[in-house]
Amino acid sequence: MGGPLVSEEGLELIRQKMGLTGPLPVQFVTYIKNVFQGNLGDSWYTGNPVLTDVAMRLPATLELIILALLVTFFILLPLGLKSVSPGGGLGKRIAGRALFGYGMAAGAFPDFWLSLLMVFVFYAVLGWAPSPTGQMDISVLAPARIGGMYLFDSLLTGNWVAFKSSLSHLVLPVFVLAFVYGGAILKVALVQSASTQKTQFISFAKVCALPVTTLQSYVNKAVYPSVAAISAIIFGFLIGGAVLVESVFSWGGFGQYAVQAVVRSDFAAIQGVVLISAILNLVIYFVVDIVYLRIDPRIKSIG
Amino acid sequence: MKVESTASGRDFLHKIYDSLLQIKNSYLIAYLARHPLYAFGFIVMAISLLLAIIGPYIVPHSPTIGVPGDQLLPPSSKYWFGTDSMAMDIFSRCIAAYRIDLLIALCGALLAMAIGAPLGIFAGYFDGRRGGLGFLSMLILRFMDVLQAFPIFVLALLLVAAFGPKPLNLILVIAITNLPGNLRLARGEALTLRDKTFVEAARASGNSELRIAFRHVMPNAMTPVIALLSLVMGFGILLTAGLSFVGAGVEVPRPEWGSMIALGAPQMITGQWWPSVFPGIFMAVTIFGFSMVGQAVTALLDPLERVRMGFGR
Repeated sequence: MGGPLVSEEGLELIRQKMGLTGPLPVQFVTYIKNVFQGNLGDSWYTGNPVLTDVAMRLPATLELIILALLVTFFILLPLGLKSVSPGGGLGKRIAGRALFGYGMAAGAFPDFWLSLLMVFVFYAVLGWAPSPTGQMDISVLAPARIGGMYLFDSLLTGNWVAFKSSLSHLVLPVFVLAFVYGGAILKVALVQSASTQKTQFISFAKVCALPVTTLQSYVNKAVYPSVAAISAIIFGFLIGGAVLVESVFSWGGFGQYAVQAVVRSDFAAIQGVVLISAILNLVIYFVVDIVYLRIDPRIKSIG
Repeated sequence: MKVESTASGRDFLHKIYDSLLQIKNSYLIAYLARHPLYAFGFIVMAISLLLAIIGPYIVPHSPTIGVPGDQLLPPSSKYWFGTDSMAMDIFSRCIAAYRIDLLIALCGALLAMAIGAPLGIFAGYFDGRRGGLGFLSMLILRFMDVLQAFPIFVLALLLVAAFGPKPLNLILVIAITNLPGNLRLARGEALTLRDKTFVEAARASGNSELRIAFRHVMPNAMTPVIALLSLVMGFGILLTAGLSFVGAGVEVPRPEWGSMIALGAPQMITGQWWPSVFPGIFMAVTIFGFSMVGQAVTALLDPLERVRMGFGR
């Protein structure tokens, strides 16, 4: 870091600046104290505080994950659950089996391969999608920063140019994430739906000649807890795990930052990344626990 | 079935026919006939294992050496899947890649199970007990929490950075990343089984607690763990390919699907799709086959399913 010609005093200075002097337990306590003050150390590669780097990279990844989950919840799951719900004719049953097969197969596709395929088909061949060079066109300025997610920031500030550019760049990566990981969520939902339909209370409801829509709503409600659980797992996984898709689309996301930190032995950044991932995972599981309490009346809360 | 002691050819054929008939009428075949998707998975797995063993010997071209000047040729009758930017035949590489990918995934999955299952049984059986063994069980669980707090890909990358990108280390990486899952699965089973009557009976017969845990509880708890094995193999292939894609996996000339996709990635934009697309198809089909086998094994080992199919005693 000091270059090949640095003197011993120079090395000592660098060590002091990076906080590498002193016994290890003291260094650890200092680090914890700093974390509580919001100081995660400085990345020796970028020179920025790790917190700054993360604040730039994390929203980009969160944007991808949130949009992929929204697509799953509002497009994929309703379609899937409708096609396997009780009642309906041959066309619906065929659609149901096709979606079941897709749900089983979706997790087998390597996400980076699918990203490359999408780029090839929609950019190289058809020319519909923009080039995979990041979150926006190079010529477009980023919108005023509210949360760091370009799509929502541009929407909230009324910046339509940025909004359109951001949206067009989001289509392919969100599609890939929704296809691969939404498929896993769909599979859990479909399996749960199938097993719920074999239960006695559904048979009873059918015997009571309840309308098909009511039956469907009963079955769907039973599916919510499993979907919540798998979604939490996938959300937590994708925070660091979307790195391959991010790489293909040059997204500048959190996973990419983590991988680069490992490759460059950027310890402060690695520590920061792991800490933030762990905290985010805890938050997500906590939120899902609360959601469970709300949607499953069989679980009684304390007090 | 009668066993004939004469050596005539006709009797031998009869014996073969009887064996085949026994196989045909067996539970496994009946189940697979009912679920063609699972049958497909088994066929894929069988072919994958076969190619892993004999693959490098039956390929038409060398999987690691290219003919100079033959770069980036589209699929033709000579190079069935075309060639990549280093003039290596894609088809041969896809077939030869089975060996490395499957070997790493299989050994990694077996290692994860070999370490994770016993530890999980221990953690589950002695969970909540006072004294040394209970404390140890809690310690194991906390360690798994720490391991699971790391994002999986980052953890894998850290391990590769620490150990080096050799195939042997990739086996370790796959084992460590899948250890918590195996452990928690086995622990869940042990928690359920330790309240059963047979455990009480074993205790009354004078077995030590450790012996009960590993001689009585563990064999009954292994069913979901074994079903998980093929799923872990699928994840292992994905992880190996992902690591190779960022350059942290298998070194370049060795045929491996992820590194093949990485090698062909820059050409996707310029329109040469074959170096990256074919390895991905192989990966997807193979992983799909493995996950189907995993699901089939779960159902096959379920005694109720056996009864439902009409093979109960």
